[in-house]
Amino acid sequence: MSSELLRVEGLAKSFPTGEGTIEVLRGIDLRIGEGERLAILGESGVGKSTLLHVLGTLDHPTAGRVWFRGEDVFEKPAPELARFRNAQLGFVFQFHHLLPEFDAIENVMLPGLIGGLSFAQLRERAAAILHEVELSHRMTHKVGKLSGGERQRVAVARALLLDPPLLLADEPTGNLDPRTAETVENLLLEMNRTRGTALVVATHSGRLAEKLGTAVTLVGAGSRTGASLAVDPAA
Amino acid sequence: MMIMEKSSDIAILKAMGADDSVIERIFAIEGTLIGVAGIALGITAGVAVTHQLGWVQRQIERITGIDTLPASVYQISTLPADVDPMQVVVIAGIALILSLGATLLPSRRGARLDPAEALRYE
Ligand SMILES: Nc1ncnc2c1ncn2[C@@H]1O[C@H](COP(=O)(O)OP(=O)(O)O)[C@@H](O)[C@H]1O
Ligand SMILES: [Mg+2]
Repeated sequence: MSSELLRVEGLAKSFPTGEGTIEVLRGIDLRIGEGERLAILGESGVGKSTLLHVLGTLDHPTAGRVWFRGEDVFEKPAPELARFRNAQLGFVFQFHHLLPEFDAIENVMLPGLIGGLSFAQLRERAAAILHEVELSHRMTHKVGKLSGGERQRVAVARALLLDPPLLLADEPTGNLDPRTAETVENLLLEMNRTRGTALVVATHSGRLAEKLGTAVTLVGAGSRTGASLAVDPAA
Repeated sequence: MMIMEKSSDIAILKAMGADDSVIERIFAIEGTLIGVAGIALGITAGVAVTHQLGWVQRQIERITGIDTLPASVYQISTLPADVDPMQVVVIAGIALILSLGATLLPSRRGARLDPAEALRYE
């Protein structure tokens, strides 16, 4: 087993609402090694996005801890957490979330601009990554002019610009037709192989989970207080 | 308004590691630029119309066929128009202050937006 990248212990997440507390996640334990792949499998509303958001430090857990390369991420103050996300994490969401005012290469450059890298250097780097995802010919297209699959490949390129050790993808192919979904899935797997980026994918697709090789299944969440949630590691 | 429409952009910027202060600055700059552009446009149009008031009046009379200032009623047949530079500066200044006020508070609120919450709604 490769050395540990991410470890989750006793993670719980509930949301206070007007009519009481919604408990979504409880007792989640996970471990992901450097360069490994993991599917977070479960039906709609079970808490996959919630878990991914907590792993990605976009939301704080109600209980439990998340370690990244041995560091307790939620010990970090907010500005440091932002830098952590910038340097160590890549995100891909179901709806590409590209910025529509910019063209493909500018979108890919964004994490680097946020990280304070030089424009010229970034442009070169972004062009190289767009080449890797086979979008060299679409570099200066406004993202609105791209197809769904192309947009998602731009999103993958953007997520990988700074070569993060971990890529978090939330239903990355949920909005694509089956053929296009397949090419984006293959791209993610290829990036995992060639770059060694660990891959955590939230999906309701058993087929995609199988492709990733390792899965945890979330069950029984998304209901009111008292719901129980189990994680079954499956090979 | 602008910032509410941008909530998913804010969420993704945060996911990419943009600090609250960065997002606040982006919106403050964008809002200020829009404000300044609007003021410049407004002053240009205002001064131009004032200078050409006689022409504007003639066009209105031509199109509607109405004598806007009939000599039988008024002592003057054209509107007096004068641009006071000081007045222009004061108005531009007030407009700038108002647009800044309308920008900075929403920018701060936008920057504090919860990314996980924003990503839930598609
Ligand atoms: N901020 C929130 N407030 C209240 N309930 C929430 C919030 N975020 C998520 N939930 C609820 O948590 C459950 C899991 O949501 P989610 O993680 O989006 O599921 P999935 O991604 O598996 O479809 C749903 O019932 C959802 O309504
Ligand atoms: Mg989801």
